Amino acid sequence: MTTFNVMVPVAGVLSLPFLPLLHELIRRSDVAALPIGDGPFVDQALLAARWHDALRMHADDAPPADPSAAPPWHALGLLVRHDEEIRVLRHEHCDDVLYADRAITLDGGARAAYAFAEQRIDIHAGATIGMLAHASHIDVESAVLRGVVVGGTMYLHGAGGFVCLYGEPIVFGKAPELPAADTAGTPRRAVSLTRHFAKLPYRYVHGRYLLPCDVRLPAHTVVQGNLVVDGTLVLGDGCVLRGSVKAHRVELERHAFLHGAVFARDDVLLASGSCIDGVVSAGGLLRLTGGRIGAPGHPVSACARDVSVIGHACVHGDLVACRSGWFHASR
Amino acid sequence: MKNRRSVSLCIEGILLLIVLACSLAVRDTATRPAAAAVRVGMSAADAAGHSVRDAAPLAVRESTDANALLQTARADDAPITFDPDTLLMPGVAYLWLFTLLTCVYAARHYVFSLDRLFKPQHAPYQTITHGEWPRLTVFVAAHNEEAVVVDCLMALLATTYPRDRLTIIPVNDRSTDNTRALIDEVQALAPDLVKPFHRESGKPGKAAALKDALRFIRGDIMVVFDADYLPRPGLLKELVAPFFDPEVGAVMGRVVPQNADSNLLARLLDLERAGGYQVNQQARNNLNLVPQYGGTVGGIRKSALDAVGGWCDDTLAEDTDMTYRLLLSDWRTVYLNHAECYEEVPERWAVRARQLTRWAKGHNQTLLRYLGPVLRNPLLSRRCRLDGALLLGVFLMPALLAIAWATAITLYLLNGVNSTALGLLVSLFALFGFSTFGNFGVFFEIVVAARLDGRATRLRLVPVNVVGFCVTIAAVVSALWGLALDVALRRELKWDKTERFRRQLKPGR
Repeated sequence: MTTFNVMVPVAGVLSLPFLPLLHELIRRSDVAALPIGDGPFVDQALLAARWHDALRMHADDAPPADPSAAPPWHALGLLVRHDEEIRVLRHEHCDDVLYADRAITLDGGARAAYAFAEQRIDIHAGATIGMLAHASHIDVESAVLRGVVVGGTMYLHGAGGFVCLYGEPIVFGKAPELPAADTAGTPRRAVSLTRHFAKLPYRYVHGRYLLPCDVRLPAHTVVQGNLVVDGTLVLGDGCVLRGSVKAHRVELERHAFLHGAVFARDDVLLASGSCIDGVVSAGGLLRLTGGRIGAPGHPVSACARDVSVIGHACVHGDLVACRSGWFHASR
Repeated sequence: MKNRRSVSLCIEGILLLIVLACSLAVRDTATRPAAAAVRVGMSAADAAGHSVRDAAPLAVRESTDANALLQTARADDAPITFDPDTLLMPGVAYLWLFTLLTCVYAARHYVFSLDRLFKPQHAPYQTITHGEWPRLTVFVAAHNEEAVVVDCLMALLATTYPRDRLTIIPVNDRSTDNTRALIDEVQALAPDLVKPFHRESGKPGKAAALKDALRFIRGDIMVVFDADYLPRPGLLKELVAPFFDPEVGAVMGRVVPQNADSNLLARLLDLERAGGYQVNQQARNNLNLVPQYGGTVGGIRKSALDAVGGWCDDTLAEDTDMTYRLLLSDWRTVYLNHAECYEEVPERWAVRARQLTRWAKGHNQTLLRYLGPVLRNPLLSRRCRLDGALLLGVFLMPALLAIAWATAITLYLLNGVNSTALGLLVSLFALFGFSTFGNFGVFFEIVVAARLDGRATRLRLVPVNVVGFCVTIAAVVSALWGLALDVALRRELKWDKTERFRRQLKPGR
């Protein structure tokens, strides 16, 4: 009897997990396949262009190409405010979709969730874009952009913040006028990486140099090869590297050039006049102080946990700050 | 649908009855030595205190000759004597070793789950949407896939990858159904993009077909899909983005069952896949261990493939084989949890068992080839070596578990429990035996995956996963037996195609 008295509650407790199971077997719930949708990987420029096309058709009262597909703002329950020019006044908040045939102006402290203009959008100090903006030309003056801003050309002045920008190009501040001595450039000499790494514990495996130490490429040289560095990689003044790199930290000194992609587990730092014309991904900080990323006609993605732009910088493509993005552009 | 559900319920009921019957039988066996001791005039306490050396032969003789029960045991009476000591020590050693292995695997599962729950997740390739996209060749492996191949190809035609840099090659491997005609129909829609390769003869198997198709590759990057997969428009860019990284040799995306609503098995596999990809693969990627290239929804760099010797067509798990060859050649494989793609999972247990058998056979072939090289490679980090070795053993553990059960039960019946070492072990083994039977570590992974996916109600089915583990054990034992026979008889490996259940999504097209 004692055994029975002990076993019954034990069996009762052990059977508890099977009660929801029985319920599920008798009456099924949540059986649909896991929805995967478009995933988090969204081409923001493409998305903004699609919104813009849909707005154009909406403004022209043209029938959509796919009648079954509802315009994107319908799903969000938003209305479209269409005009020749739209001005969002100081401290006004507008949650509708703004669509202007010419220009949209956001005065100081104004907030627009969605803004699309055929020609230009001017965002004045203290104004912000909440979700998505798209125009051929976007001018930002000391604003914190909380949404995605996509423009043909985009100019940012003063100090502010951003999350995701796309432009061909995105220009921060004005380019400084360099002294003649800087721009003339010292002649560069070609260097063999195998010879340069002779004193380092490197391995050359299938077209890549694997280095378990910090590496500095000498100034005013041209080198070629893909580098995987378990440490800091520094490209000296005026050094040109043709190849992609992966390192813990990557530093480009003045006028250094990197023709390839850069992947850093930590920071990527670009000094004045330096340039990367491939994809950039940094697990830490991406700091641009006068550097350039991408090339005209060849947009690339530059993403980092934190992005900091000081002075002048130029990016062709998208610039994504996963945690925080700040700029303090020169006037 | 209703019939299917009732059949599933019946199967569940029968399995529960079997488990109950087994436990009753074991209980009866366990009480027998005490009863026997009473019958031969010994007290139960004496019997319990009897040394292992004396008690075990008695138990053996009891089971073989009923008349001997009432006679005094003498060593010279029986012409053939069985000394359990010879079995005891190796058995105990094996059980300790297995328990240790189980602890290591359980710890591994918990580490992965905790990593996914609490550590910051890194996705350095997720935001790459623009760049100089390389030339890409997509191979679609198809062998008698008339039910699904068109959907896969149409989904690929809707991709956002730059068209001028894309080539789609459906690899029609000796199909005997309408696959060829269907592929040709799709090719007519996009002749510049789709370049079919109709393979008429040659060695059977996906690896052999891909090896032959490799000569048509354009560019340095290739992505492979099975014909039952439905890639969404942005998937190709997602899979190619990591190849900008010079360290990456292969990429693997996440597989999501599309037919999860069809029956109980599909739902269980949905849970299992979620645990395997959302938690296990992603955590291995986060911890810089060994994410596995899965052979489909994945890409490979051609130069890396060439560097490691191309596709290996003498194995049933060319994907695992490739993972280890890349690992040993300093190429990194990355897993992308955001690169999701629908697949079709088996809807019948027999099909699932065959699939598991094939995987187990291939995986264990890889184990035999690469366990030594991985453990000896000084260029790999220690934790990478450990994880590589543990990953190689995942299809061996169920067989080792089956042996452990047999050993434990044998020792138990021989009254070996009376030894202190084994007595302690049995308690521990009982705990871990059950936990491995339904491996709590794996369960925990599944629970974490369901939470991360936001589908908690699916967890009601978790206890039924025990059935899935039983099938895995049976399939792995069968696979190992088959592998041993293949080696002994020098038989050629047989590729077993997984049966498809989906019909074409839009028959009109």
